[in-house]
Amino acid sequence: MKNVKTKLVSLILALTAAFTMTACGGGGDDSKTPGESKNPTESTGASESINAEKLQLYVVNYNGGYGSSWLNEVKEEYEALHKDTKYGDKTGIQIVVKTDRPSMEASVIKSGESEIYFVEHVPYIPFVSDDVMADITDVVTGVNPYDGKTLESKLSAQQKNAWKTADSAYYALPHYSGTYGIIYDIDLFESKNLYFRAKENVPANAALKDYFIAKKGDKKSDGPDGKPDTYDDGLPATYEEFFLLCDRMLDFNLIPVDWSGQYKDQHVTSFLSSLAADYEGLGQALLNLSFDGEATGLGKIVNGQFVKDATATAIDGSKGYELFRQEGVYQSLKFLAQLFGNDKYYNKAYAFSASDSQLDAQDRYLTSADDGKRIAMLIDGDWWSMEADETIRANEYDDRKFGWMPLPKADETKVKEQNKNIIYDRHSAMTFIKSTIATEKLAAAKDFLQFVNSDKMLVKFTQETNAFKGFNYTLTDDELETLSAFGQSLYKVRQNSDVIYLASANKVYANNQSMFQLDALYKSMKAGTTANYDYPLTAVKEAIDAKKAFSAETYFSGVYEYFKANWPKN
Amino acid sequence: MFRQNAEKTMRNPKISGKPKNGLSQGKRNDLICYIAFMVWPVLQFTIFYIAVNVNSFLLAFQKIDVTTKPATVTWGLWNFEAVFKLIATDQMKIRIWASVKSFLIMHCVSVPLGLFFSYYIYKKMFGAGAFRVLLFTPSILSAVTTAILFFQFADRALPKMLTDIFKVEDAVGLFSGTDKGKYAAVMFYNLWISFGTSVLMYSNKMISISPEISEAAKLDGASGIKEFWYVTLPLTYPTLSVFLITGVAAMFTNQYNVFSFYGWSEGAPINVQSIGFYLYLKAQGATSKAEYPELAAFGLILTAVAVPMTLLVRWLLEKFGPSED
Repeated sequence: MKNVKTKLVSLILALTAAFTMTACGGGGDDSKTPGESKNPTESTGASESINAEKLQLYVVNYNGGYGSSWLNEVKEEYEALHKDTKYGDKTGIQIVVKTDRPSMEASVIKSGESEIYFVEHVPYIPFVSDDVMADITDVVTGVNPYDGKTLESKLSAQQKNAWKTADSAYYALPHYSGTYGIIYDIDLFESKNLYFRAKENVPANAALKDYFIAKKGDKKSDGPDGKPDTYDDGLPATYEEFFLLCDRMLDFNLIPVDWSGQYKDQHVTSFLSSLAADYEGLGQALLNLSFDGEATGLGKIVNGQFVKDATATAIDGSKGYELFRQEGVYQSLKFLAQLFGNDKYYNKAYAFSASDSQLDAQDRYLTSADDGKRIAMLIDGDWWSMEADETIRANEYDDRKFGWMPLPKADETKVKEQNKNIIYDRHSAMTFIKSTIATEKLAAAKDFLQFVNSDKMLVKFTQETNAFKGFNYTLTDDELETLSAFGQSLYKVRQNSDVIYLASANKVYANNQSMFQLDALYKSMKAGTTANYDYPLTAVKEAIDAKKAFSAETYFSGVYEYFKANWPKN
Repeated sequence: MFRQNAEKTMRNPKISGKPKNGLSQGKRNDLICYIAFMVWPVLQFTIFYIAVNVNSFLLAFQKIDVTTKPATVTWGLWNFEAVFKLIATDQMKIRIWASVKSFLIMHCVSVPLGLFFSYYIYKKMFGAGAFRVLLFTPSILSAVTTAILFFQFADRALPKMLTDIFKVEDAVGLFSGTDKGKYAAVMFYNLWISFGTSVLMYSNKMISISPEISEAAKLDGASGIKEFWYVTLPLTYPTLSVFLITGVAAMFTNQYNVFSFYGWSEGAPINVQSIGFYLYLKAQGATSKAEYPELAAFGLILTAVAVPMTLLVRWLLEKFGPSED
């Protein structure tokens, strides 16, 4: 009897341990094979019953930032459209959506339940190598039955170069696209006349206020695109104007710029990467991914000044570190130095607060209109309004207007030279079908991808999220009207921008991708040591604590030293 | 007749319980039960320890190119060269020192304090039961939960309290101030959170000490401190030495909960980043298997350091430590 009892207790303990082990894997995808073994009412992890009469496609969507409402809309429409379509012995299709952050391990994806992925940070080239994704060349290059265009025609040259493999195959499509930048409070800008006055109307020996319009209706400056009567009129065109704007804001007792102290490194460093790429322009900025071409804007610090190389430098994989001498990197660091040159330009109380999340910063930004010192601009991702939705609803801020500020240029010469923005996408978000999908489902999955990325659905995504997919597509005026003020503003900036995606087939890049993430590009060797800063704001904080000024020149030299010393060999 | 019947009975397996193959029914059942219990942990051990470590060992000598399909693997010692170069940098020296320093702080502070509190509880002195509950309570919650609670308290509530109650101007959170302050906060948390476990282990060992031994010590006139030093400590020594030996073995893999505070970001100041945290962050942040070999080589080098150190510490503890006898 005692023996039986011991065995029973042991069994219970063993089962408990087994359940604990199962629970540990809860965040990932399970390894059940979808399909025939399921009964009609079986739950799938998604809160939806399975209809055995229909064909199921298992879709996983990472819903951080952009949510899943867009996919629910797509699902409803697609299921309705195909309710009578025959799939073998089944009629109709069921899109089973799981909202999760799935594991990005190749083996887990291949053996998991989900068949179609909408996820970010996809290591495209390694996934191709590991045969994780199904070949969808026909989806990309064939005419999409849902809009009569090829998806390839909606891709940029860089996307095609990065994703089309040596045997001319495609394995994934872009998903959402976003970056870090500056959000500004349009209501505040309008009420305080924080727009720059047209240059011809600025008097000689102008006081600070003379640079700005005096009343609504005054002619605004041309903005960073250098063209009159466009979306960016009155916004700061140069770094100098940006800081004049900050000074003007101080006249109104505003906090010019705020950000999340907890994510300061990610947000601000990624923003600097965008500034650098914007300075360099598309061709030179793309060298940072392809490591193939001639770099024309390299230089070094001589006697505290940036001195440009007399000749261009040939770049290949073995000499990619040379690109960290690009003038854009230096100019972005100068911008940073100026931002921290006046502790009233930023929110001192939270700028380095480790517990200040992006949601805290968004709340603070929004509620500052009613409570405390008002904040004029926020450095955050362009998906911020989705994250701040709860605060917007709770405070009935739906009618408030915010905008996405096009990046100011380093100087007037750059405004004239380069009137297009560069947007440095930070997500590497992609859609793909796993390679191990059942053969009889592959055609349906491909069709679904074509539907999701048809013009109509791309617009629907934007209408749902006020954000954008990584394709070139346009909205009609009526469609644009349905977006929030922020969405409209972002759309106009994107329409006037070249987007760079963190993707490259280059060997050095593909084998060391984590080294080239957007917020990892400003590592810098500390002068005279073999230690380094991981982020520029660490050096800034060190300088502030030591009551010294942050030196853009020293930090810039260190960036080159770091990447030269740590450049990968494969 | 009796003898014949007895022999017949012995030959009948149904009656004797002895089967033809030599195992009784009961023993066979026991064996099946044993195998059923052991197969899962043995499988787990084989896959998640042996296979993982063999794979890691092999990775250390590989260079993987993921731009080919399938990935190309070449063999060599480049990863070790790269790691030795890395270890020589000031950056990595700071991390190594952070690991060693954290180990020393944890064991020099935690062990004596843990022993003291355990002895207090063992002797059932005033409030011993309450102490036991209070000290162990944080261990009931998950490490991430307690880390978040502590993080928010130290970084938000504490400065607010200092400002509102003590009128301290410009009070900043422990995790938002100087790098030394951040390290101190992380170490305080680790000491606090590990305290419950060590007190529980030590006090349980102390409770198992025969009351007669304790009584005999008292009769011989031993004071509380002498009883602790000459009786309780030697008898608790095996548990203590296990703590020390496993601590040394894990010196370079322990990340001291830094990940729970700082997450994926490398925003943790360098003086807080232990080698364990660094390796975890790099392994988790790797975008493909091409980035693993250098980390595997690093791990192998650390094992080469940790193994002799662990054996040495074990030998020293066995040779010079007090005996239970």
